[in-house]
Amino acid sequence: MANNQPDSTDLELTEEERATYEWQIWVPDFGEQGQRRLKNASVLVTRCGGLGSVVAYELAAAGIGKLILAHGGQVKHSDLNRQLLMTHAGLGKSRVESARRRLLELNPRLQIEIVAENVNEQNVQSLVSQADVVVDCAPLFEERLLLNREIIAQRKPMVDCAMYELETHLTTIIPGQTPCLSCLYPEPPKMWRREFPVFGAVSGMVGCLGAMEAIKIIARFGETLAGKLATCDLRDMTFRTMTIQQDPNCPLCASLTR
Amino acid sequence: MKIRVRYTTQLKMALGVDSEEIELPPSSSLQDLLQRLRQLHPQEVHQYVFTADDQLQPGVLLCVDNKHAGRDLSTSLSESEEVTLLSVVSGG
Repeated sequence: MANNQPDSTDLELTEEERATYEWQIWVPDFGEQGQRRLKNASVLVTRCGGLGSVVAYELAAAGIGKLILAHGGQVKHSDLNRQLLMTHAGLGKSRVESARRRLLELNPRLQIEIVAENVNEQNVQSLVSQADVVVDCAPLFEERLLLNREIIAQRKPMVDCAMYELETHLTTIIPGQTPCLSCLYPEPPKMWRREFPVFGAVSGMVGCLGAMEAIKIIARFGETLAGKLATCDLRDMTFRTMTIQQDPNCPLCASLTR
Repeated sequence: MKIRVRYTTQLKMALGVDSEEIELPPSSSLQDLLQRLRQLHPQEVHQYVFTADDQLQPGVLLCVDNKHAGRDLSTSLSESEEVTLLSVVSGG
């Protein structure tokens, strides 16, 4: 599904980039044009924890031009089972600084803007305005709904990644074309707990899928999860894709499709 | 008629099962199904599915045969359909 953003392939690939990304440039429908689109694109990843670490790492590996990472706090022991941009040596130090260091080790050409705070009312407009695509990896539903409100206002696509125990949820929101988060849950769920059971392999899997969604949106190939919710249960390896519907009374997005 | 009900995430963990078959009268609705589930699992359904004023909790999605049913509980069910009670989750 096409997104609403202008196409940009202004920056050409260097010979080093052609060599680095050769294997993915061979992908049908992607090619050099897709790679140039990645190079010219910026992605906001909100929190680089279990989900966001892997999203950012895969996007850096794929040759995205710019990453904007928003995540407050310092690395804790309990981060290290899943937050793969954090290291034991980084305990007690800034999470986003650790993330930047690891990402630049992988891809020194990457532009990274780090913001050592979580998405909030004060920074959300500016953060979203700098990105072509948002990948929502936040643990708090208040943050998710705030991002949702802003991507609707700025008509930016957003990939929404989530996990619990051995299960994952993933969808892509294209304002004006798909349901938004508020259509699915107009307010934060009452029973959600900030800390919950999960394996790093589970968050890593949905992080990879989320990164691939962002790549498809930017490079304009394949079929995204726009209007669909993909669920995986790794306990018995059940994979499902459900169609989701817009709330015709959604205060945020219903007017975009009338 | 028989309806297969699938549970996910927190509700699945609370119930200790990922699905079960529920017997309902013909022409039953999603509302009827939820009321039957409330009889079978009063504590878990009260905690994870309904609000204090008996509305569907905001974080619960109902899907019939992998199609989101929205928040209209009058949706009719048919023999052999599968209903998923999907509790939304986040990141971390």
